[in-house]
Amino acid sequence: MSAKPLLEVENLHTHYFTDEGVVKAVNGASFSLAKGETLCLVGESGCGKSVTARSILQLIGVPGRIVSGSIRLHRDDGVVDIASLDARGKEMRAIRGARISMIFQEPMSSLSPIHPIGEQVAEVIRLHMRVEKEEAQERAVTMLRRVGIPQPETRLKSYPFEMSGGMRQRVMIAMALSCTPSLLIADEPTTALDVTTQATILDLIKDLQEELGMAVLFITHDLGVVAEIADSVAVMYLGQVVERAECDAIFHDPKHPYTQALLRSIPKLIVDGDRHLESIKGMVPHPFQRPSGCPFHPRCERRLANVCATLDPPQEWVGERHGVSCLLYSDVEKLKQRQSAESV
Amino acid sequence: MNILEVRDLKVHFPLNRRFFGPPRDWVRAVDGVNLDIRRGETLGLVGESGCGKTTLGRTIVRVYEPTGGSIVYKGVGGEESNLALLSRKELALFRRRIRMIFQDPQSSLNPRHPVLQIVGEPLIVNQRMSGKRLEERVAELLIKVGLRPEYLHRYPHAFSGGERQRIGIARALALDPELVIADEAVSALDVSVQAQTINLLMELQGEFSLTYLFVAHNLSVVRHVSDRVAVMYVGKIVELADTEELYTNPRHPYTEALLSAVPKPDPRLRNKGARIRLTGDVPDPAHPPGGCYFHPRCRYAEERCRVEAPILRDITPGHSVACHRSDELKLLGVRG
Repeated sequence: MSAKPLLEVENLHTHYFTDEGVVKAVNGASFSLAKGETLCLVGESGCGKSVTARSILQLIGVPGRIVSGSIRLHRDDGVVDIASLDARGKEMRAIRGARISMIFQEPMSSLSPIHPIGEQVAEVIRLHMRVEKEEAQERAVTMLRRVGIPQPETRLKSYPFEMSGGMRQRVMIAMALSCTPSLLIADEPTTALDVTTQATILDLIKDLQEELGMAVLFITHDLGVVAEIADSVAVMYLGQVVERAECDAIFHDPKHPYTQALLRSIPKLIVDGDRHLESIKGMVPHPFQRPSGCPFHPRCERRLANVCATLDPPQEWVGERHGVSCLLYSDVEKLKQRQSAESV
Repeated sequence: MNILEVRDLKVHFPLNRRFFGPPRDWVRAVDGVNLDIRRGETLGLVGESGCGKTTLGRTIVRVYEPTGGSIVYKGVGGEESNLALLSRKELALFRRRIRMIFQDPQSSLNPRHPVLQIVGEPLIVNQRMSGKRLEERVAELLIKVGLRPEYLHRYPHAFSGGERQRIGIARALALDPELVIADEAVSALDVSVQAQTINLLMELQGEFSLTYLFVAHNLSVVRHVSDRVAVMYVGKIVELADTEELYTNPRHPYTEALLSAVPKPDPRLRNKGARIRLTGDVPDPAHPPGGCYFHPRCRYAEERCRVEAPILRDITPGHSVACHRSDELKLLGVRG
């Protein structure tokens, strides 16, 4: 794995301005992704992981908007801040689908039901590369064969409804990779699939990643999947990355109480005696009722009285590549002083 | 002692129905299932989508009409009734004893009804309960499932996914059932809420001496809650054993493949042990392959598997499997 950064997201804020109030879907998320690396973004539903992914592609619809922060994409010809680009502009459209592409959870709703799959794959190729129709068609066949679709020449004429869930997801992957992107964003691509199909799709993504040298931003809520594929992990809670580290550290030396609790609450295949699962008490708060201070403090078992509810936890580095946003690892006195200095 | 004995149950759905004459084709969703559920246990039912596990669960409560076979319900006193043959009217009694919890609390709760009516409906219909008594009983049920009784008059949209699932559980418990069929009851929930709900279901089981048929595709969850597990493939049960036995010592190649496909939540186990990857898809239940239905995807298949369908038989007491080669194969389970 090269340490050269490919994508750096810093202090990203994406908010939705609804009639009832502002939903801070992403509220200060920071993480980075090296070339060829697999980063898993984990968290429960509503933690902002999908909105983060969509922000990277500037796919935020009204009433949402990237409010602040930067998304720096490193290219051979320099660095570009995606957050400052016009979502409908030429430059963004050249990135979307070619440099960065995305696959989604439900392939049936992201594929057109009225076009044969060959046409859909070829369309992406023709949009981003100056090639003739026949050549695009040929490339589509190559891609479909590469993702393991049997008899791609005849399958070109099939419609999505004629294929199984796993096959449809393969078509999505073929589309996403047809322009050899440097980053693939996979938003819960295996959640709707059976375990056996999930395993083959994960293998496929891994193989293609090695072959094409692309980085993968993999969004999932399944910690089992994370353990299988991630190089590094970012754990999100209420729009913030609360902990980021290499995969092994997340599973064997988690620092943030939320990560620790999350790991304890997964049912395991290997059970030792006690069948009672430890769970996190309470639930993810409603987006309009964000807790003050650390967003996790109302559910946290290790919260510090009078501290966690008032101070925003900054990110501290506890290891070389291990960052955690929790006041247990911060110098609370210093923070208090700084805060009172700021308020004066 | 068994609470339910399913014998040679078949549920076939007509396909390409013609205006006159019999349909051209049948989908054999459940095709000759034999299954005993013991009183007080949790029986897990696993399999890939389309294997017929949901159909089997729903047929037991007669949402679907069985095409053949019997579903014998055994009461506490030993009286037996074949649910497959009962008329709608006669079924009413058993509808109280067998309840269901559904996967998606969003679509299984009426958005226009307050919790009082959703949870109270079975009480109103079956016991003509109303007014103060109904409110008290529903409030009591809400407390049992860990919801605040003040929420009585709220509508489903005001609850989170996990809370909605609790409402579904409260409704299932309203009539003091004996058997609860939980169809993917925790699949749509987040891990932290999922853990809470699993714990709740296990606590309630002890408190009300419930029997669960726990239908799910998540093998880790099933391991956690079940006493015994049945594995289904294309409308048939291919293996059934005590949970521990099935997970550590599977005897059907399909069970072995399923177990090996589950992602293990520990990066240090990555690339350790032989991974079995199933190729191809689950066969179309309208046109299953000949012989053993699993043979096109089975890595141990031999000539016999292509022609002769294996029957489910006991290989050791309490462990039954439908595979010709189960005696000679050395299959890997979950270690540890």
